[in-house]
Amino acid sequence: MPSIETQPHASRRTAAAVAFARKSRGGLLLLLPALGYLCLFFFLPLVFLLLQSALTPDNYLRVFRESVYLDVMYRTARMSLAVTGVCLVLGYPFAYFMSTASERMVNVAVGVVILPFWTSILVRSYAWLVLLQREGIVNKVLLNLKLIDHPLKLVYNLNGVICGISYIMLPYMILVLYASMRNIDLQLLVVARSLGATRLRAFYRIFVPLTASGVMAGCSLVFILSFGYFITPALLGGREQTTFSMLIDIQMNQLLDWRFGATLSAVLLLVIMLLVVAVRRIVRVERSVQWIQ
Amino acid sequence: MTAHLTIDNLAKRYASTTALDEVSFEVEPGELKVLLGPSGSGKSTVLKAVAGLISPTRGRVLVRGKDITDIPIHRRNIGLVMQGYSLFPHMTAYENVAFPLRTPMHRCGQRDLHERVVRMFELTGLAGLESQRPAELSGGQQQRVALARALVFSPEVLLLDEPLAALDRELRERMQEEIRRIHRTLGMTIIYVTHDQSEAMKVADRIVVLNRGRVAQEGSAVQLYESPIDEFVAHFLGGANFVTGTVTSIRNGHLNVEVGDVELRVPSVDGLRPETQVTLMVRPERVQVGVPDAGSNHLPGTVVDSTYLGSALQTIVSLSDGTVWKSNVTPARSRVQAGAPTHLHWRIEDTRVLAAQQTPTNTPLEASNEP
Ligand SMILES: Nc1ncnc2c1ncn2[C@@H]1O[C@H](COP(=O)(O)OP(=O)(O)O)[C@@H](O)[C@H]1O
Ligand SMILES: [Mg+2]
Repeated sequence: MPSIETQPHASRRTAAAVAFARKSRGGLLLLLPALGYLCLFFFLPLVFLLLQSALTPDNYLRVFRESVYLDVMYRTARMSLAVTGVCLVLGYPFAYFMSTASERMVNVAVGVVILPFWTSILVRSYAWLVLLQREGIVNKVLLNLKLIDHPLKLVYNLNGVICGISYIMLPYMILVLYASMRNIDLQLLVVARSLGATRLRAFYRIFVPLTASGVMAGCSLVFILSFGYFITPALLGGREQTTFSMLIDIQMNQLLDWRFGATLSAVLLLVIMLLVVAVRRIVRVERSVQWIQ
Repeated sequence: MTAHLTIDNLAKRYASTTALDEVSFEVEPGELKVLLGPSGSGKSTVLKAVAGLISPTRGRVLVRGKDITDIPIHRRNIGLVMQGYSLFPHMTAYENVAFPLRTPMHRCGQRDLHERVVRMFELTGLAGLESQRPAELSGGQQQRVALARALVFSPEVLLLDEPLAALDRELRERMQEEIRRIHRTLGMTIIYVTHDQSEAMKVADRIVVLNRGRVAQEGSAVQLYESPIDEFVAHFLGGANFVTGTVTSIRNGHLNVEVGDVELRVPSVDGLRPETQVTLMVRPERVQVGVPDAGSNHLPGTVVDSTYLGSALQTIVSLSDGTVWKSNVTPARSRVQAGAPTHLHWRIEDTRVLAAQQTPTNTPLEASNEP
């Protein structure tokens, strides 16, 4: 007897229907255009790049010998971490609101979150410039309110970069968090309260732990995307905020040292891939620890 | 002695529906009261109002005579097991059961906590499963964890919302006995919600039948089955045959009721006068088919179908006005030929007079007609 609890809705995707759809082999053909596109314009250039970096293996040593590269790598990581933190702090309450709101409110909220995607990143980054620069709106308002005497330096520094990137990354964080929160049975919170927990206690002892894997997923996505980010730090950062991808750009576009640029790219790719693997491992360990305990 | 729990004139209105119209009943200390009704009759809404999950539109909930209607949910001290158990999936069974004892409301010392949790595991037969997570437990075990968690802080009252609905039949019957055993052991006051009349009769001290947000009738299983107040209750508690007629006279403590051109005799009911229209009810297992005994009620009819059920012989008979009656008699005799004219007969004292229904006849959604 199928239990009502495990199958709340009769699924349109019955096993038989899926099997029937699979049987018509056409399915695989549908993959071909996208696959071909990826091969031609992504994998092939990537292989080409890696080969080029392999032509001069010495370059790999150079990345570790000259302190500037590891230094920039470290600073990029720190900046990405800060961005991830900002996105989590801003995104978590928003996603929580969405997970408890009515369907109509959720549609509005999703619209608000996705709206920025309709404008180009370049335009949005320049918009931050307008807001944050010396003569910008933020400084003018603060000056007029007599909260400050001198304009604050809000842009061409770490502050500008974190504002800019966090703003770009926030939707990703919110959508990932919301996806995980939506699956949480809110009745659990009610039950926790009937067992004597205050609203706050029910929230941090039941809701927060259940979002752990969503938080992990959102944070690693934002961290990794920020790590390789280029345009916004280039526009809103100062010399101190040079990111690793900007170093690559300098090699390729200014010094025209394609081979070394390729090496730096390979290193960046490797570091990000290691991060992805590490995150997966941590999440999996966490889950299996949960099972064992 | 005041009641342990008093539901006083409770009403709950939603934008589009009235979940509770007017519900009042009392639960005595140590009583296991079953709320029985078809789906949508407002059973869960009553429990939610008692536990504080919703605030009623009108009416009060009292515990030992004290009004708790405005006390927030976490300070009510009422154990609640919801449909589907709602165990915390990230905690072990032990942590689930210990959860209430770690809240400010029920906080206790570490040793006391451990003792009480272990005692609950023993009481509910869960010993050895302390470190399992809900996903690793069977339906019956999850049910027990939910029960242990709702009992561990010694609540005033325990509320169970269709606690066994998700279990298969064998397990359900075992759990029914289990819940009765726990009830006896702890002397806990319990409201037990179900839509299954046989489950209700099995576990209940007393039953409150709900219909469309109102109490249809309250009483013991025997009272409800033997003397249902109206067609709805008669139908919901088991198989029932109905016939309408007119009271002609009252004599020797009996009513005479004219049904078509037949006169039936019925145990007298206060307040009925000649010329009143009444509905009579007879349980199928009290109705015999064949030649009537002298002094019993009987109606002529035609056999529609006759089925041998092993434990009983079920005969379906159509009366002259088209009403269909069932007879379920034990011991099962040989089947009767369909289409044959026959007589239905039953003892006078097995006839019940039902209250006239104000509302149009309800067709109970989940009433089971089989005994
Ligand atoms: N939150 C709600 N909003 C609107 N209607 C509701 C809500 N909760 C329950 N109802 C309605 O109230 C009636 C009683 O519901 P419920 O108490 O859950 O019934 P039961 O538990 O007996 O099946 C139903 O008609 C249901 O649709
Ligand atoms: Mg219900």
